[in-house]
This record gives sequence, structure tokens and C-alpha cells, in this order.
Amino acid sequence: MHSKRFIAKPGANRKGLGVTALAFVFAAVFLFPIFIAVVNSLKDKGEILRSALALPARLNLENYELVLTKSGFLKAFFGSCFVTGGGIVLNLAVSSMAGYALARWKSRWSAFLTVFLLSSMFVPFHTIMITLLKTAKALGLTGKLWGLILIYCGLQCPIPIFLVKGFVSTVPHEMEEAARIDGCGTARMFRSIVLPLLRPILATVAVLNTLWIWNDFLLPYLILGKPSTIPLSQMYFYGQFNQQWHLIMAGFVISTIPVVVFFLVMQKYIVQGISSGAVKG
Amino acid sequence: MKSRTREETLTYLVFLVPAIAAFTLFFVIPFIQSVYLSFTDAYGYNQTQNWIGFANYREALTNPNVLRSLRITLQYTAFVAVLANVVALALALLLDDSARCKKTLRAIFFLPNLMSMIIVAFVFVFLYGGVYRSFLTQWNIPERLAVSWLGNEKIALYSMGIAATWQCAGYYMLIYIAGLQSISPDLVEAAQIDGASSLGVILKIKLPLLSPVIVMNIILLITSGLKTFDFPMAMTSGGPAGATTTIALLIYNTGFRSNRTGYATAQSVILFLIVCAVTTALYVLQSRKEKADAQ
Amino acid sequence: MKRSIAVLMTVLLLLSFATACSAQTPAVQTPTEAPVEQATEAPAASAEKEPVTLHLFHQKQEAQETFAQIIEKFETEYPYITVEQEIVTNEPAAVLKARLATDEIPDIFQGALDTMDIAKGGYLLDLSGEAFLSNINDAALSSSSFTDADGHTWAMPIDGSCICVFYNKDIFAQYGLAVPTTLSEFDNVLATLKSNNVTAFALGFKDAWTMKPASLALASPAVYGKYPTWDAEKTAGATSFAATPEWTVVFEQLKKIYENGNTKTAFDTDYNGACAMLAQGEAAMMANGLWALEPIRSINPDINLGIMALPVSENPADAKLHQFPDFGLSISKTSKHIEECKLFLEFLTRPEIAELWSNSAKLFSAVKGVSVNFDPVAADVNAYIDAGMVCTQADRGWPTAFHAEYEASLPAYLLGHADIAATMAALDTAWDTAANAAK
Repeated sequence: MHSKRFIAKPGANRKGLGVTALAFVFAAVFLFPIFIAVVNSLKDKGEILRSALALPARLNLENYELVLTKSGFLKAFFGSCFVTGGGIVLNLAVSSMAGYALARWKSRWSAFLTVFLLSSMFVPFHTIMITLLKTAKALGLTGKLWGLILIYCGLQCPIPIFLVKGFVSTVPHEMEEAARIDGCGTARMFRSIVLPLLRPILATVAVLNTLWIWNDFLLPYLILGKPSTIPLSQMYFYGQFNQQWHLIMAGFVISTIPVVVFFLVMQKYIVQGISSGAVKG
Repeated sequence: MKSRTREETLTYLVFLVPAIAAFTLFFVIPFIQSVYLSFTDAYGYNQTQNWIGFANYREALTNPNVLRSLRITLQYTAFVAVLANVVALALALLLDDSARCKKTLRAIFFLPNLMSMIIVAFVFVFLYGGVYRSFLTQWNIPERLAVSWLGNEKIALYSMGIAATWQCAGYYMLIYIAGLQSISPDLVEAAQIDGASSLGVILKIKLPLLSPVIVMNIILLITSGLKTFDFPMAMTSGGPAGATTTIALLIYNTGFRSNRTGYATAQSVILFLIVCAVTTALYVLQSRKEKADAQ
Repeated sequence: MKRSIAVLMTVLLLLSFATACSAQTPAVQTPTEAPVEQATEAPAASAEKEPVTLHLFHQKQEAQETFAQIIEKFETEYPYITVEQEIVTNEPAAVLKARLATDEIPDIFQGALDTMDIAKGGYLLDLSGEAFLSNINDAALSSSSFTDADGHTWAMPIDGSCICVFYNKDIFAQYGLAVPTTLSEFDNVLATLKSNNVTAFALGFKDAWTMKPASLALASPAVYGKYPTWDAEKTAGATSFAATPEWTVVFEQLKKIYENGNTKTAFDTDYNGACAMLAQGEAAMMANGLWALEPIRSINPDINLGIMALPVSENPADAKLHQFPDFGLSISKTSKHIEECKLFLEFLTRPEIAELWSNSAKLFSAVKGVSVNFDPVAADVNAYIDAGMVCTQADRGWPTAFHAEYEASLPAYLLGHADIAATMAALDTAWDTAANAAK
């Protein structure tokens, strides 16, 4: 694969340039709104209200200073890291097993369970909010970070399971069959053959889950009861009649940096794909 | 042979247990308890409620606002499901092919996903408002040709859909990229040796092989579209004149602003049933096609 | 395989890092634990009394600093009491519902528009008869958002706001305009502005909530100024929107405001945009609440601003200003520290504390004898108050579920989806449904 990539065909080069240019035009369109957000995080409130587009009059980092000191940001940051990290590990473990089982299990129950899990995505969170909280309280999960992680596992597993299931069904059976003939049990085969193949989709799931958990507001608030994750500390600046957009923007920039870093780290695994695997042998 | 199948089934069941247990505990049970409320006159902070049968359902299904919200939600979902899928697929194919700086580009396209909905909404309100108007003045475009992106009842829903597409396209692009990577390069190469153009490769090889992923993405987009809440809440608060009041926003308003808990739950059960029907239909179609392909 | 281990390792590392750090700085403190620790560490001043922590829940984000100051003074006077404030600005109603449903009820909280519904659920302590309530203005206290028809006081009002028309005094002076007090004077003002190509009203209807204050500035003097018991009569079936011509005046005048503003861009402009229009002299007037003062001043601190009421008839005596008690606090019936909660409310009614509150909140005080001058426009409002030209009642007595329907009817009418007759009929039905649901 690698060697092939380096043997460029004549003409492919020029075509590559065209495609790249097109992609960069798209990229500019995608970046523009982010540019607006960053620019506005450097203004004071009056400046934003006067014009959202103009560049800031001076390099003003006071918003950032205020956000970092006022909203208990560091504490919230570590709270967020813990919940997100725990949430991802648990979710990946649970949903990769379930997704694999649903894809390979030839049974009516498999299809039924998939639809059953998926259907939960159509229930607005607010509908089950109060009853979920009562359940969580009865189980003694309120006020505990690990309680929140468990709840995330239950609420957010359907999409990862669905993604893993979809991915597994595109992967050919041959290797698994071969391993079986070699006398490999399902559990061991899952660990040593299937999991490595699932790497790109698991990395994708990890990134998506990170975003959901990192940006979620209401559930952590209700379960933990205190602003101990980042969106909660950001929401501090948000009110119906008094939106301090300059601070919201600064808070947004600060709180997004960790996810961006995480994404950049993970993206290596997302793209690597199965290139080193044995499938195309 | 039989014992192997039984061993397999048993392992699959064991694999499923943690997910199903957590799901049951934190979704199924609370949901069933909520559904009970839809048959009562549960109201705001009242601690007791009376059984009133299907009255809430009757009211919801005859209330023009509920029906209108359902229609609006369907329009929005169809728009976003098509647009976001096309954009995401285009981006994925673009990056799968011969473009350079793939990593940087992929990161850029995914960036909007890292932003919280409220911020995205705010930025687009700026774009559709102040930024667009300064653009008009700069190019001397007459007022009568100006478009009222969020103020026009016919356009606002689609303006919102564009913002949503901007935010979510990178997400579906990643899923497509994962799908594209599972396509064996040998197949592509074989086609190229046979003289197929890159468009030919995309149409004849990549798209057909991606079809399960396409269906998966459509299902995901439909599910997220049908319960769209944050964008109308933050961008238009459902306006102008209710033109962007999606069913999820209506349910929220009924339950938490009007305090009519039972009625709001009935509305969400109706939404749930509709979407279940749609997904099951899509899912069955997809499985049938898979079976047909396999034969 | 190696790489997948690397992925896992990254995640695990991140996790252990997070755990290690959160161990140093405990990320979660259950509301009761932390303050008790603080209190026990505090000097022996609290030796006689058991330390008590009060949980204060509100949604007034801009008042955080002021509350912090007041709490500090309070804790100096009562060293054994600690007050923890929790501010929820994002979906406060949903959070409060969840708290009440799971029995995590704050000791003192702001029920806002839901106060009466919460009281009906049996969660609130009846404050009527408490000595400190005699410090509160009678008009504010008896308002239907604090005291119900049976005389139970479910919340204590702290400040007052008003819904009004902000106007640019310089623009009015430039065209020789005076504050209109009758409908025909109002029409003249609009005509003069129009002939001089001045946008009369700044409209920010993209934020749909801004339509309601504009309509209440009319409805309060027009309907409630004349019929103080209109709500009760409507619920009893003795009157209706259709049978009250004043409601028709409200909607007609609202349409006049809409047609004499930035009509084309009204639904494109948000609340902040409308404030900017007024602040930058692009429009002569804006109908909204006193809270709009802050954004207007932050854009143009020097604007020569005035506040006026809207005329609703040919009688100048009807042009009253809608002034109403706004922020209020309730005590949970199940609080373990009811006495201490009352001490805190009592503390808020002391004149020097009330003055501190009003000056920083830029609102009027509900406490007797406290008058404030936080901004030049306060003089205009005080003139209305002194002349007895205020009307305190508008939407606060409506059935909760009616608000959303009313808000929906405004743009539907303005954009021509429904005429007056259809709008009145729709409002009548919506009221009956809402009142019935709340029974």
C-alpha cells in the first residue's frame, strides 16, 4: 500500500492539485464561522454589539483571563476529563462487544435488538429526564462522577453499537472462519482478530463520544448537582436577557482546545484504517 | 457443529448483556415510567396525577400546532438528511482520492463538530444577519433582492438546515472515510487497469460498496433531524411565527414552559411511534437489499 | 494490534491523568459536604449554634456579585450560617423541576413564573404574616405573582422592573415632538417621524420573546388598568378576549408599532440588534423592559435616553406605565432550616441592603422607602410612580400554559396569518385549555 502510493502516475499529479484546490475552497467555507467566533472572543461586549464582523480594536485577552478565573474553569476541566475518559473507555468496551455480536449473530433477535436500541434515539432527552433522575437517585448514582459515566454508557451506547455493527458487516468473514478452523473460540477471536480490525471505527466512536460527553450540559448538571464539567462552567455566562457573548466565545475557544488536541491525536488511528491488516493479504 | 453454534450464540448473548443492561436501566425503565404519565393529567409541580386515558393523545392529534410542528420537522429532516449526506460523501470522496494535506483538511472539516450547538447557532445568526448585510452594502445589492435568511417564514427552516449541515457534515464524512477504507484497493486498481475514470470508479465501485454505510448515515441523520432541538431553540426560538418550531421544541415548551407534563409526554410518544415506523421500514428495506445482494 | 494497544494506552493515560488531578482537586462536592467542612474550620464564633448551610437557587446571573456581597454581610452577622448560591441560567425551569422531583429542593429559591404552580404542588412555605413582609411595598406584595387570591404569600418580592418605551430624546427634540399621551398624538408622532424618514421603532423580533413586552406595555394600561380582575372573570367565563374591545386596541396598536419600525428586517434583527439601532440613533423608540438599559448603554453610554408609557385611548389618564415586582424568593416547605431562611429574607428587606441590591441590579426596590437613581432614565420612571400613573398588572396572573400560546399569537397576527377576530377566538380557546390543565 505504502509503496504503491509513492509511485505517482503522470497526470495524477495535476489532477491531485485540482482536487486539493477544490478541497481548500471547501475548507475556507468551513473555517469562516470559526474565524468569526475567535475574532469575537477578543472583543468587549460593546464591540460585539456594534459589529460582529469587525476586527477587535486591540488584542484583548481580558475575556480569557476572566473566563479562567471566574468560572472555576480548572476544576471543571479535570471533572470533564474524568467523565469523558471514563465514559469513552466503558462505552467502547460495551458497544464494540454488542455491535460485533449483533452483526455476526444470525438470528431474528439481532435485527429486533438493533431496531430496539436505535428507537431510543427518537425520544427527546427531556421526555425521560425526570424519571431517569428518579432512577439514578434510587440507585444512589447522583452526585457521583462514576454514576454519570454509567448513565452515559446506557444512554449513549445505541449509536456506537449501530456504527460498530455496520462496520463489522462490511468486514469479510474469512479471517474469522480461518481462526475458527484453527480452533479459536469466539471470545479469543474477538480479542485478537476482530478488535484490531475495528480500530478505525472505534477511534471514530471515541471521537464522537468525546464530543457528546464533553459538550453535554443538562445531564451532568442534574446528576452532579454542581458545575463540575466544562459546559456547566461555560453556561455561567449565558442568560436570556444578558448574554455575555464575548465571554461565551472566549470560554468556547478555551474549552474546545482540549477536544481539538484529542481529535488530532486520534485522527491518526481513524485514518490508518486496516491498511496494515491482513485482509487484502 | 451444533455445539459450535450454541457456543457462538452463548458468546454473543454474553457480549450483549452489559449494553442491554445499562440501556434497560437508564433508558427503557425511565421511558416506560414517562409513557405512563402520558395517560394522566400530570401537571408541572403537582405531586399527584389522575388517569385520563387517551385524552392527551386526542388533543395532540387534533391540535393544529402539533400537526404543523410534525410537518415542519419532517421537512427539515428530509432537507438535512439529503444535503448533509451529499456534502459528507463529497468531502469523503475528495479526501479519499488524490488530494494533498489530507490530515489538515479532514481536521478542518471536522472542526465544526467540536463546537457546541449554541455557539454554532450564534455564529450563524451573525452570518445571516450582520455579516450578510455588510456584504449587501459592499456590493451595492438593492434591498429588494436581499434575502431574509432567518426572518422569512419560507426560508428560515432551510437556513437552519444549512447551519446544521455545516456542523454535522464532518461527522458523517468520518464515517464515510471509515467505510471507504474498508474497500479493497485491489478492486479499485483492477477497475483502473480496465480503464475506468475516477468518476467511473466512484460510481461503479465505491458507491455500491458504500451503500450499507449510506443507509446507516441516512438513518442517523433522520434520527438526529427528527429530534432537532438546540438549533431552533438557540437560533430562532421557533420563529418567525412558529415556522421553525420543531416537534422536539414544542414538546419542551409544552412540558417545561407550559408545565403540561402529561400532554408533552403524549406528544413525544407520538413522535417516537412515527420515527420507529420510519426506521423499521428503512431498516427492513436495507436488510432485504443485503439479502438480495448476497444471493 | 500494537497500535490498538497504543490507542487504549492513550485513553488510559488520559484517564489516569484525570483521576490523579481530580484526586488533588476534588471535582465533585456534594452540596452539603463542603460548606460544613468550611464551617467547622471557621473560628469558634459559631460555638453556640450548630452550623447551618442554606442553599440559594436563582437564575439572575447578573446579580451574582451583588448576592455574594450581601451574603458576606449576612454571614458576618450570623456566623453560624453559610449561604451557598447556585445560579442556573440555562433551562432553569427544567433544572428546578428535576430538583423538586428528586427531593433535592433548595432551601431558598426563585420560582419565577412557575411560583404559583410550585405552590400548588405543596412545595412552598406560606410567608403571610411574617413581620419582615411589612417592609415590602403593599402593591408589590399583593401582586398576583407573589400572593394568591386566598391571601397566601408564596414568595417575597425584592425588586421591581417596568415595561416601557425607550425613546431618543434628541430625536424627539429635533422634530419638536412631545411624549404622546393619546392615540391621536401617538399617530402624529409616527407621521412626523415617517415624513422625516426616521424609523420610529427598533424591532428585534428574531428573538420572539421581544414581541411580548411590546404587547404588555399596551395590555397593562389598556386592559388591566380598567379591569383589575379581568383574569378571574375570564377564567370564570364572565368575559373573553373577543368581548373586551381593549384587547383589540392592544393588537391594533402593536401592529402600528410593527408597521412603523424596521418592518422588513424586523424578524431578521435580534434583541441586541434592536438595542443597537436605538443606541446608535437609527430608530427613535423601542418597546421592551428596563433590562434593555444595560445593552443600550454598553453600546452608547452617552445616548440621551428617556422612558415613556404608551397611550391606549384618547384619555391621557390611561397612558400608564407598566411597573411590576420582578425578582422574588420563596422558602421550601421541607427545608430543615426554615428559621435561618427567614433570617435571610428579613436581611434582604433592610433598607441599606435593598439599596445595594437595586443600585447594582439597576432596578427599582420593592422595599418601602428605598428609592434609587441608578441612571438618568430612573427620573422618568419615578415621575410616573409619583403621579400614580403606574399599572402593576399584566401577564403574571395568566395560567402558565397560556403564555406560550399568547406568544405564538403575536407573530401570527403581525404577519397576517390571522385577523383580529381569529386571534381573539384562538386566545379564548387557549386560555380555557390552559386554565383547565392547571386545575
